[in-house]
Amino acid sequence: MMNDEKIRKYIEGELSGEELINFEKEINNSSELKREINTYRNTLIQFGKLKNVDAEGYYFTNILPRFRESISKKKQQEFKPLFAVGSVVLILIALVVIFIINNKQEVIEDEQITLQQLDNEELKTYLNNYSQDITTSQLTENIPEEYDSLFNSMIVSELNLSKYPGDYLVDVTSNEFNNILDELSEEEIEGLYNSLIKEDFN
Amino acid sequence: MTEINNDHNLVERFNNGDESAFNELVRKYQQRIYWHARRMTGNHLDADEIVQEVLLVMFKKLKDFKFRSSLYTWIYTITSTRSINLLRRRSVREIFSLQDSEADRAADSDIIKDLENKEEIKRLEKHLQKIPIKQREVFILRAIDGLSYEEISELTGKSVGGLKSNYFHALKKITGMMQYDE
Repeated sequence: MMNDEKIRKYIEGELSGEELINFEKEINNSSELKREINTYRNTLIQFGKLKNVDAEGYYFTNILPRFRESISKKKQQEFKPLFAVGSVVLILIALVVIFIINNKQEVIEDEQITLQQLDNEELKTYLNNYSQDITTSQLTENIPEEYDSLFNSMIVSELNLSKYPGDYLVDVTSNEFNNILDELSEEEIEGLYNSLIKEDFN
Repeated sequence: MTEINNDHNLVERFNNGDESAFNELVRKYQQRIYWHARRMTGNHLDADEIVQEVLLVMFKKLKDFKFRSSLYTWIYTITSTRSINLLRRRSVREIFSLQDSEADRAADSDIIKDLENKEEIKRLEKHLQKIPIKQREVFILRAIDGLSYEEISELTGKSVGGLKSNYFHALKKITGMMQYDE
């Protein structure tokens, strides 16, 4: 071990003065030591060849462009999760909007179908249940004309008008009624009023 | 001193958004990074992987570099750490046979132009792979790069005495292997 350190120092030129002279004497007296030191020196000469290896220049020229390319790829990859999350959120929002719009249309369509497709019994039930909550115009505006006779019969039955001739029952809207009133004079209206208040509907 | 000032200037320029300063730094140090990684790993493909990793670390971390050491010491430390990590990963993969053998990697593309000495260079690289990593590191820096023990100590953070001992152990082992080869 002591000799190892001396050999290392000798090879690396760290010995000087008397120490160097004594060790050189030792080397000259020992062929084994001389051979050992020569093999170490030979190893170092061999490895010295690795210092100046002639390499392909294109590799070093391309290091930087390849690095720049990988950086831009990494940036794109970093962007991807954000893009994916954004896309998912947008799709979800679109689905929710479509669902809401569809639901609304279904409700409207359901109402229209129900009113137009009700048979007489169903329509009576519907009117009994809901006629208190809506105005006359709301109630009648979407009802087809074929239900007019049904309404007439219902009104006749409700008001006990069966004893009166049917031709005075007119199916008018509030607008039409106002038009009729506009065409009448004050005297005619007064006359009608007086005759109506005298009429016994029971 | 001029080199340190120049590095300082380049780092400052890069940190202020001048990408060309980073390019200059890469061109300045890429060969040293590559050859150290190559000697540590013994093949071109692994060395190339380390070069790209080191550049990426430099690119991301240069803004935190405070010049408490020279820039090359910092770059060297990154290169050395990455090389040692790769060698450890490689040895684990080889145990579980998940990676190509040394012979397969050696057969991969190489950048050595000197065809006459190519086989000799590969033989020396192969010998280097057979000594412990820490001894290999010191041997490369001393015997090939020709650094003084003080410089190696600055780079590796190890004591000069320990480095001398490691170096001579490495020299003895490699010499033994080369004699056995002959």
